[in-house]
Amino acid sequence: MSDQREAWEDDESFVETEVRTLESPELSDLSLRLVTGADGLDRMILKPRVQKPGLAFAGYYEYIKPGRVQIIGASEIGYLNSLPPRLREKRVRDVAGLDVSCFVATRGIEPITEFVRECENHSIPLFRTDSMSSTTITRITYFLEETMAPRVTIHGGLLDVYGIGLLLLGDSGVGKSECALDLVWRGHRLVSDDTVLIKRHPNEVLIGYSNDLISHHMELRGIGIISVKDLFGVSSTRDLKPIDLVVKLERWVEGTEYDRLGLAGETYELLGVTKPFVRLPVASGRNLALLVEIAARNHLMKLQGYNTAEDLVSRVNDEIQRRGNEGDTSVQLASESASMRDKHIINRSQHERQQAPRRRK
Amino acid sequence: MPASKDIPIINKLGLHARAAAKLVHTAARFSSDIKLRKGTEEVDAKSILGILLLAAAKGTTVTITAVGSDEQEALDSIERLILGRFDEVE
Repeated sequence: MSDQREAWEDDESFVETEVRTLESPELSDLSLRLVTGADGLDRMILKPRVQKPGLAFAGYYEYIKPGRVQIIGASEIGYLNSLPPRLREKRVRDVAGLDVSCFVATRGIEPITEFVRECENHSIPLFRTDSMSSTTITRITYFLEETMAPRVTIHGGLLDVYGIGLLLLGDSGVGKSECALDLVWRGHRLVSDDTVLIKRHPNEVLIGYSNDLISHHMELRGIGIISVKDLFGVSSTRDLKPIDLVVKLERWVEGTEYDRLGLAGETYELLGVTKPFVRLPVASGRNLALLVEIAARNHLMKLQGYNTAEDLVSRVNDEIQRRGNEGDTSVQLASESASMRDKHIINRSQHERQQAPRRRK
Repeated sequence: MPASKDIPIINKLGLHARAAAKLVHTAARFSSDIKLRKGTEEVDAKSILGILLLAAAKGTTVTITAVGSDEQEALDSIERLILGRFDEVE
């Protein structure tokens, strides 16, 4: 498992959830049946990662963490059945006393009597499922990771622009909504215009969701509230989208230095995850939607390993070095006009794109 | 009478990308029309692509010309930047 994933799991910001969440229809494929411990359905699950308490039944309790779902498979039951009755009773009692969230017995195995009794005594919910342990673990972990994912609600818009999840930020009144509307008009898809719920998933994935209640509505000053889905049709919206790029619309401040080359490589942090960040200064006469669209296209190119700014800059630097080495500082390509040179640059870049191996930054 | 001056490029890397960006930022602070000339090529000092096109290496001399209300300040600032090797560690 990668370091990223470890860090994600150590994160304390998981949203705790009650054991009864496991009764969600989303897990209906496991057909979890509650055997006992209904009083304990309000116990909290603290981490999405489940455990198999096999070694704990053998007497090694160290790694049993409170607030986890414990999966009981054939090996656990088989082992317990192999123990002398008194020892079996002690081990079951000890494990049940470790403040676990709940037990899930897999493969339709009949949990042994001592087990059911201890769960009842400690008010620990005990579920049964016919699914195999591996399936149960995968399904419950996935479900809990999503349900308990760290989250934040932010003021901003989220759009799918050429498949790029683009989070649009900016102060109130800077023109976010008009920009989002313009992007929808150009055929891109709106997730949310005003409020985005963002959840952090494993592997640095941030997923933005629209709000069910106000979904795909937009407020336009002077017109009021409109429904993008009704006005533009079903293909103009989507309910969620992973975020790839953050664009912030900023009021143009005289004297502020904005990135001119595109090499600044700024990032934006959300829920501990950093995403590429572009600051777009807003001034009258700038076509914001066009600029945002271009930012998305440029990001697509970078994803494919081609960084225009880096490429051009390295070409210029090579040329400077070459001229410096020749020592002939008066070298002039007099016959070559600026526009010819531009053409040359374009041709070369196309050529290099075919030749150069994929570069990743 | 426009302010004009020949300034040698003395930093090791010449007018490379980051130096060009600094030059553009400096030039953009002034309202004057500022041009940068190297040989027969003349470019706008407020245009990053223009400056990159010059590909001026160390040892090259560029001519800065500024026209406008703050032409002298503009010229001085740019001269300071270039002769100060763009504040770069070499």
